[in-house]
Amino acid sequence: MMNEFIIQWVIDLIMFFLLYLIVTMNLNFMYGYTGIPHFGISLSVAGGGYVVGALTGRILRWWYNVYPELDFMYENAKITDQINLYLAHDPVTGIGIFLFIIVLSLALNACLGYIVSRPAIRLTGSYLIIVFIGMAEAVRVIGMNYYPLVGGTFWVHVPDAFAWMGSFRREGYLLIAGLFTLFVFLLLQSLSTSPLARVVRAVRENAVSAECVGKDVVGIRTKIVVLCSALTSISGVLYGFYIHAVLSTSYTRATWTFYPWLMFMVGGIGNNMGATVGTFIFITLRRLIIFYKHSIEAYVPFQVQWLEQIMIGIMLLLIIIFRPQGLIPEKPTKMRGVNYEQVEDEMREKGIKIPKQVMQKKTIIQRLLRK
Amino acid sequence: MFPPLIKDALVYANCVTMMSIGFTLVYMISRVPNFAQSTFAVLGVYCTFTMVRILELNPYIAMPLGFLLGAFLALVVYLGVINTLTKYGAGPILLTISLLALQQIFLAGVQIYADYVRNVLNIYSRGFMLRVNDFRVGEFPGVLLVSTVLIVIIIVSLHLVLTRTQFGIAMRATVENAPLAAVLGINVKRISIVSWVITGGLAGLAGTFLPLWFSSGPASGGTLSTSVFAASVVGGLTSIYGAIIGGYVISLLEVWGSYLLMKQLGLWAGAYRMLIPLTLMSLILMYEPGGIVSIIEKIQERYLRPKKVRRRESS
Repeated sequence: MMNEFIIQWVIDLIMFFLLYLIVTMNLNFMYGYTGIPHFGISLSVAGGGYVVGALTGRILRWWYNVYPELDFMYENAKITDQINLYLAHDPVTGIGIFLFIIVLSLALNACLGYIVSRPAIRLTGSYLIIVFIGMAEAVRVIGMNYYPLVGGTFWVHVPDAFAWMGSFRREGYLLIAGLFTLFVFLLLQSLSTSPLARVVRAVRENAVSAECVGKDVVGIRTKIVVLCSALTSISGVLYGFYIHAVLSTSYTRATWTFYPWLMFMVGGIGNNMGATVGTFIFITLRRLIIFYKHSIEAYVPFQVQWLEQIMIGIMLLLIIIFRPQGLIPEKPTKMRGVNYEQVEDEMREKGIKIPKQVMQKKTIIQRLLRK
Repeated sequence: MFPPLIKDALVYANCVTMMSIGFTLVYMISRVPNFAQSTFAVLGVYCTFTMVRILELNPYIAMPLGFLLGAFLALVVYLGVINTLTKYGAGPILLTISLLALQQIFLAGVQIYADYVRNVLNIYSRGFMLRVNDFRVGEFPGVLLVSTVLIVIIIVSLHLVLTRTQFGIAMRATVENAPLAAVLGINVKRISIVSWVITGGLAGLAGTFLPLWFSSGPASGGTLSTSVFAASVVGGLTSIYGAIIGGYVISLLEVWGSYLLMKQLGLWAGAYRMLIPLTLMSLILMYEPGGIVSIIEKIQERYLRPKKVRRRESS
């Protein structure tokens, strides 16, 4: 019994780590590489969730022709139950609907990202932050009040697309989520060593000089926001299929904007390793808090989640004050096909002083081999 | 006689304008959007709540208290976080993140207070409205009269301070060019402190009015903040007069627009009320990022400059 509980706890931990990792990496690519302070990232997660909640059940009901006469939202549990019975013996439809929803969510959230960033992407700093915060709030308000979307303040059930896995379902879904996270990670990692990343960093460091050498700064910023909004929505889709439900009130600013920001500020801005480390530390801490929360709940006359928020806020303030560069600081980008050792030797011959950062890039093994 | 819609709109507009003045003032001097400001308003809301429901006193005693509480917390925020971070060389993004963190902390504190009141004192502490505890003069509710008189006093005194006193002139010099002002012997830190204190105080004061007319709770800061951002952005974030105009334009359009939509489409449209200021803000940012101030300047340039040029030529 206890063993089973621990396994469930670990699987939960890994699952939330993967979900948040997708958000953090995208946030990192937007702010760490491009310098877009996206303080409304929760709207992309919510966008993914809304696509799952609104469309999965409806498409499957049409596909299997389950209770076509009932109202989808009011008789939600009944319809979803019936669909799950069909899905338990139909792996092809299950995988098909999952992939279809992911593709749909990518497309729709790319559009959403464009609409949201359109008003202020030409401007920088505070204006951009204000618009993003407002837009995230607007998406949340629409989800909470437009009943046919995801059931307003009630939840909508999501059919279990992996019911055919049987008893292996929990681990199997974790594997699938891991594959998608790996895909996002590899995509962003390869982008961050590509020529695009250098342009993007140039835009971050000095937009005016980037424009002077002929780069379309607004276009690049828009492209990055659209790409990252689309990729972030994968997290919302995976979350919806994981808990078999979509609840519009769960996409708050605290949980899906503030915590991811905290995670990658802890880990280090401008590199994916930092984002990963930060997310892991934070998620473990948070799951432990949730685990031990009940033991103090009886002694205080208020909900413990407020205490948790205060603790997390103070933690973020301390990090910003004492270690603003995070645990793993940013390193200069390596260009593919360049022999750095040769460049270094040439520079030394010519008597050019090598910047300290370039020297640090060599690993310990490389140094040992050279000796 | 006096339609209730205008009362709604005016009380809301007075609160929003008080806050947008503060938001713009801090943005002009510290170059930081003060996201923690809406939380000061929530503190004001709970000041009035405590006065009326727990201590059973006149709600207007809460007003100086709300002002002082907001001002004190703003002082703590400035000296404890903003000033420290600026010393370490933090940019506007880091300051913004720290302000969001502070907002979380303060809001969680208010939630703890609300939970405590509900669980220990057994008083319903979320979504309350204290209209019955207000006084009335004829058909005008007290909150409308008091808030209108106060906002006029605030605007006039701010105008006088900014144009007639040495401190106001130093403040304007800091807005124009802070390092140069510091070279000339102006104490920039003192001016920042004063601007933060005014902001916090005005936000706390605006919060104390809210529960006397609207249903409020810990979430009312969030609903107010969208209007305040929109008002400040539409005002241009460069002048206090712009913030005043923006505050009234945005909140009157918001209240009347949502009323019209509810009348035309049905009551459900009222839930999407915050989309009105957001749309207006987006439109302004897309077509005239300088806001109302720059529109006025453009009109002045087009119609008033030829006269000036002629005068210069003749002299």
